Amino acid sequence: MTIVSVPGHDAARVICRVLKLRRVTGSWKSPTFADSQHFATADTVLFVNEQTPRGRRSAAQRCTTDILWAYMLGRAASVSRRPLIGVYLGPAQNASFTPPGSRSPTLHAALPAAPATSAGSRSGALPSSPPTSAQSDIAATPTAGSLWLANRVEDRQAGQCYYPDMLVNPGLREVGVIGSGPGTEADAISSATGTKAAGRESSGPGATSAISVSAMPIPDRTAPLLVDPQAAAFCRTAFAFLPPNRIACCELLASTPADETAPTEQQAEMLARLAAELALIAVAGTLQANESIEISVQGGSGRAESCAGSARAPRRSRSPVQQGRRE
Amino acid sequence: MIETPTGHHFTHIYVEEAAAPFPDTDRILRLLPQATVVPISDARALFNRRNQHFQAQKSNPKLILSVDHGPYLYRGSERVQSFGDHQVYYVAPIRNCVYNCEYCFLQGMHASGDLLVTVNNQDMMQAASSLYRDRGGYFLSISYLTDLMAFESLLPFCRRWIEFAREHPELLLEIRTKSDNVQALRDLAPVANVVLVWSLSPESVSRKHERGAASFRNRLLAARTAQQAGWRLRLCFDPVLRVPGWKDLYHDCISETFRRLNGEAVEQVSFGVFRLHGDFLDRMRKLYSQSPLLHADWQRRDHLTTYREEEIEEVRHAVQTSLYRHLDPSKITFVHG
Repeated sequence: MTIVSVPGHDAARVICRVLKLRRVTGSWKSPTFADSQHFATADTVLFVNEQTPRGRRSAAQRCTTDILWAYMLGRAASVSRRPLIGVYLGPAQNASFTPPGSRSPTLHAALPAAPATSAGSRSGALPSSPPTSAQSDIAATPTAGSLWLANRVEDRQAGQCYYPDMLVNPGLREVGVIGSGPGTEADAISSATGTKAAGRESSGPGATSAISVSAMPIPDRTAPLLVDPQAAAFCRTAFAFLPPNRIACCELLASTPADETAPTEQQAEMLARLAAELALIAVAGTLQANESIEISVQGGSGRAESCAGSARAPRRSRSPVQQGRRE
Repeated sequence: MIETPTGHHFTHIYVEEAAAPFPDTDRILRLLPQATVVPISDARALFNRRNQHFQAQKSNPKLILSVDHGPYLYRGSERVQSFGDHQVYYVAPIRNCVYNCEYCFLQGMHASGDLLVTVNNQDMMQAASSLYRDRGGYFLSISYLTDLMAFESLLPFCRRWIEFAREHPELLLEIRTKSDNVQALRDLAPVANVVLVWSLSPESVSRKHERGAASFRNRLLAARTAQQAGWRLRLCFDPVLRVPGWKDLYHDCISETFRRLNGEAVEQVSFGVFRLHGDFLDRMRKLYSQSPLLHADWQRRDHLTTYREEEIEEVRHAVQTSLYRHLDPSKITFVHG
């Protein structure tokens, strides 16, 4: 795995140290990377975004972020099927509607395409648990330090909603994300009290018009809502470049939001675990029947976090990088 | 988790805002208690998103519950085989199928591999009833864009439409299936104007190209059960694929079929070769880059992609010869175009 970040980014340094990754520095505003060779040949790319300015971003700033993502995803999509994992570490745009603990490092991932297989013949070979959340998880309230997988991202400013294909879930609980736009405290955390989104018809690629769960008679069956101001920017661009089956949006809620730029060792370790799980999603498509996988990532404490697949065949221990290269 | 008869399970249910109050929505949510519910505003917009990968989504298909605002009845093309009956119509209570047949035209027709389920089925029936009042009987296919019988345990569409047909005696209702879920209809008395059609393929073809569908033998057993219960029965060997040893495979398949079924009570048998219209094949080839079947050297002529003329004739002759041994020629229909 190669990590790419703006020069001297504190968060990138911490993540690199914890994950024991190679760090490639470069400027996102430059048309070429300072070390583009590393980027072009990396198996997995972990992208640490620029620090987001305090307060609500202007349209120009949002556009800049979109352009960066477009460049990033355009490069990655054209190069190979490798996983592309983005990390946003900026502070919340508007703390007034950000739930406690949601000022978080957030992983967004564009993944290799899932396999062209029949569910009947291949589903048994998928790793780990089936891609579903237990009902208790659905009803759970997001707490600091927890990992979540977004099944929809609302862009309320644009009146759009994005739905990554939920093809494989290695066990993460699911969440709905309010990516941008006006919101209230009540929008976050509790799906039962969500408010109606300002609905404009969809216009963006891969997007549908936004809706909240307020009209649904089954709030206990829907995922809770989180606020992540960056998620909409990611989805806006990701869905323009990639099919929904190659996009995942994960949320890691910070346990110590005091430091707005650098994750703690604990957070970085969780990022490592999530990166491993995302890699698991990425390689799930390459599994053959009766095969199993086990991937490991060194956590900050030096112990291995592992995600094991089904155990029908002798286990093979492979790194996420190796997994990602399997065809 | 409740599974469909094919072993598919649904991990996510996307519920359109307008579909939430309908009883069918409630039924599905009750039958799939573990599925995550994702609220959406417009099911069609989700289903028709561009850039989706049909086959990737087929690896874990989702349910999308929607309200159909019409039109509910579509004029059937030549491809809906009416077996000689006139005025062909079809309805689409579900778009896409729980099965994943390699040659299925739905891959080229729909952007998504997920199942779009209409929960306001009553509106479709009212439209069908209105047409019935206006012009009398017609041929209605309810499983043109899906396999309804395979879905029967989740939503009893077949049962509802059979009851509908019972009240509209001049209507001819066709339910076509590759399922063996005939048990879902076991407590229903056969209806004179309802025809059950089983689509059959040799076991090896079924295993390789009709993923998720019931095996040849199970389909045959289901057809026999339906026949013995008194249902009108038709059979369909379509598409006939020229796989290695296809002559022997289809000959044995036909022989086995009429060893198990009473040929006298089989109303009609239709057969045809692999054929696709329009640019469906181009789209399917993109989805199935490793499919020898789809990437074979097909001939295109008049917006139809199929075998060469002499190959079609060879199939026609071989299958007809096999069928003649068991059926009166008047019962045999070759379908093409």
